[in-house]
Amino acid sequence: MGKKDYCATLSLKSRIAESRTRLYRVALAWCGDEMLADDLAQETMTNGITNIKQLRDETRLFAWLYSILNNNWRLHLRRKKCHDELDDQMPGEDDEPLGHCHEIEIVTRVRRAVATLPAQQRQVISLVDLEEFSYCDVAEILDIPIGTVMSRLHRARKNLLARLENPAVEPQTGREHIRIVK
Amino acid sequence: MKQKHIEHIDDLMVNAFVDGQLDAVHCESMIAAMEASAETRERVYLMRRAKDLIKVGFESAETPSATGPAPRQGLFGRRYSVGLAASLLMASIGFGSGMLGYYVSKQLSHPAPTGALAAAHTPSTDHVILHVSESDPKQFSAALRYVEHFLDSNQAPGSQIEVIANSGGLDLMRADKSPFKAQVVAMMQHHSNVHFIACANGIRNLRKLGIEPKIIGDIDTDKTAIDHIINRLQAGWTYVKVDDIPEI
Repeated sequence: MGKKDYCATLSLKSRIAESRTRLYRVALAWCGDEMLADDLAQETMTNGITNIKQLRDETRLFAWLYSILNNNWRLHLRRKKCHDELDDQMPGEDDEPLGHCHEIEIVTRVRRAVATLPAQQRQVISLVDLEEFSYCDVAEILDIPIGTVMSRLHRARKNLLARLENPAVEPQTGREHIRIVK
Repeated sequence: MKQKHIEHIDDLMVNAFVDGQLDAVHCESMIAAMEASAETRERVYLMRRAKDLIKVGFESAETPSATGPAPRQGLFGRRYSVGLAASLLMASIGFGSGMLGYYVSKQLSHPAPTGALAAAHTPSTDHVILHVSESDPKQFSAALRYVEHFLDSNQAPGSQIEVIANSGGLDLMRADKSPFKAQVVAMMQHHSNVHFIACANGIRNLRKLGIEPKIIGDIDTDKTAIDHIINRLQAGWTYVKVDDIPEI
């Protein structure tokens, strides 16, 4: 490895290391569990550093990292033998994901509301609103069509507001539309 | 023409406007629609509110280890931010991956990078932290061979090596599972400068899965492997990942 490549790789690894908090926040939005989110973020960093040579376009570093995070999250769900659709995967009340948090009220309420959204909606809304990825980037990270990104995002926001307004409201998964189509 | 655009504004378009994803033509249509309709303005406001709420809800979140107790040691006498500490880790990993195992000192002659990376200590070859993260007997064997080699080539007083295991690597230190239990115990008994450390986070994860791991007696645990590694790097230790060792 030449000096230039060596320094470039070192720089990329450093950027990955510095992304820990960003990865953690998105992972927290996905899983609702602080320790699991930290594990996912660390695992993602390790995978990123180990497989840095697979990154072909350095400008896509973060999109690439979040696609690794997505893979790790899916792997975790599989390990838990969650064979249900991701849409059905919600952090359970029994996990007490946020019960020990002493955040200010609005933070707690938002996190609780997000935790009740279907997993696929949580993924999209956190990538767009927290990480400010473009719809194209999110489609690439999650390996879904851009139209799906847009519809999940809209349902996520709508559900979030509804849950904050009334915590008893059941979130829409999007399957309702299937039922009304002739 | 303007009215035609307004009639076709749907929810997805409202979101795309809020997220800055519309092209100039559609953006103008949205603005015109908002000027003309309180209902459209309300729809935009609500989606913006949802977007802002997500930021409020998660932007303040810090990793559990970042909010934990201060490191037990460190040459600098203060705690580094996670970002910088991680940079230090990566600086060493960068060195480590280039040098691969035994060729530590040779590769350290690389010119130091600038910025945060330049703050990293020159790693010490007589203080090594060896990281095992996979349940692979070949890697376990390589790790123990590395330790033996270290002991043979570092006879100076004060030299130390730590083997830290997390995730699948914990199997090396499990009394109920390790294929090298006797070797690990013997190393600890005969060499006061060899320490084995099990990641408490990894143990907790196993317990979550209903597995109660029996860790070999006298093996220490630390909160998370990555925090322990960062602490050691701050103290100038050399990081070696077991799968970087050439024999594997």
